[in-house]
Amino acid sequence: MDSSRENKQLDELFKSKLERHQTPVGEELWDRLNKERHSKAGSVWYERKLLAAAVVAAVVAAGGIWLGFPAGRDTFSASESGEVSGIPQKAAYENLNIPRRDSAGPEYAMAPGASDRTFPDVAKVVSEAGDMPAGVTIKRKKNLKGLYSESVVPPIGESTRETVQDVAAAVISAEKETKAETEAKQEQDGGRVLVVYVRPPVSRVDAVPEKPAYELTAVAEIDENKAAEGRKKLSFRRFFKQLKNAKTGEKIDWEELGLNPQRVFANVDHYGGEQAGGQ
Amino acid sequence: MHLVNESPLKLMGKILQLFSHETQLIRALRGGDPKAQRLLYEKFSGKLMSVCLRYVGDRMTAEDILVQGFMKIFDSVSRFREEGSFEGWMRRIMVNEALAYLRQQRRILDNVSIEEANAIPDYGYADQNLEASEIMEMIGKLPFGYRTVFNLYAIEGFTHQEIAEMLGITESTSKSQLHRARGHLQKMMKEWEAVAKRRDDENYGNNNWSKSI
Repeated sequence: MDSSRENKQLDELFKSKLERHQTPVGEELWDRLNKERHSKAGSVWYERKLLAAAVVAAVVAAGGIWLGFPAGRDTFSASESGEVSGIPQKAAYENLNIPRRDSAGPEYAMAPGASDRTFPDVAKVVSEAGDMPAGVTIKRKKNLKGLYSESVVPPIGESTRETVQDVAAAVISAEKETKAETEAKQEQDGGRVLVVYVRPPVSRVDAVPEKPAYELTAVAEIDENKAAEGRKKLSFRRFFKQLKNAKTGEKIDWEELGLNPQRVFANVDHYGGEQAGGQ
Repeated sequence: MHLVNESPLKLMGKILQLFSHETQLIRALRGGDPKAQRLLYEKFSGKLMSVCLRYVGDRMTAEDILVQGFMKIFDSVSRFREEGSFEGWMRRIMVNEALAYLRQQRRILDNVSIEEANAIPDYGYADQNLEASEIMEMIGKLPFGYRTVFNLYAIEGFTHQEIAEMLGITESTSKSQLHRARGHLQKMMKEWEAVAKRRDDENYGNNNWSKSI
């Protein structure tokens, strides 16, 4: 008999004899098992509850930080006339939403409580004279309300607005505008500048000088402290409202929360790409 | 087996009933039903205790492993994918628990040199007369290293590669451990055979003597 067959016989004998073998177990072992299970289940339940509380606290804290964040972070800039760099064009245009009527008036400036973004994009601004370049500068100042520098806002009549329906190129540049002395002074005061240059219609673009001879400046001074406070209160109320919606199984309105996932991803892509490009 | 004598239809019915019972039991266990847990314990604790004893040798430790193993079974029954048998899955959990204990005690490679037997036992005689409890005793006499490899290879059916991975040893070590384990068991079987045959002869002699009177 060869050894492999011998080994197989031994293995099979042991396997067949032990496969169904049972060793009697006492009742006290079940009691012990039950006891250990209950003690473990209690600790697991406590751990889970603690974990859930920690998660809720973290979500609330993160939401508070997110909603209380100053909106001024998303400031876009355009360095030169006619050039808009580093921003998603469509998003900027959609968010601009400036009524034509207000383009040269004091209402063109940002209202308190509104987002303090500046959107450098081609805006439809109506110019009074076809060959006269126009511009609007919006400035924001702290702790003051509704002051506009009238000298730099030229009047625009109703008739002229209607006559010039063609699209005029507008370039919005934001922050660090140091052209005029008055602007420089206001910059020092902590204001923000939005300059809009309005060029003549496309057909007459040859006549437009490189540097605009005339520009409109509107200065809006906003009480940022109060605005931020109001925004924060509103944000919390909206946050808890949406939290309630989530709890009751209703649809969560992300727009109301100011969390547009698409916009967030677009910004992440944009900044990520910008940083990657800069490296 | 008595099932073989039954009609195929009846046999199929019994198999289906068994399958349905086990499926229902597993479903109840997944829901954390205490009655199902108790039923499972009553049904399998004896067999699983035997598995634990085979690996660790002493009853107290085997009971500890059994309790830990059942706790693991109750907690992770939702992860049972119903690909193999439920009993096999439970046995595997018990084996893993026992191996974890042996690893912790550093007894996996705890070997003692024992003189190996050259004689070959009579397997036919052993198959008819050797009791499972006697086999358990023989396995219990093996050093831990030999016992573990023999249990994993011969009873559980793992390959040397799997055993090497499980125990953190090489395949050749696993093979040599198995070879030595078999040698010791053959020696023990031969000793048992000699005693058993002598006893049989005595009984036969006594019976003949009593008949002749």
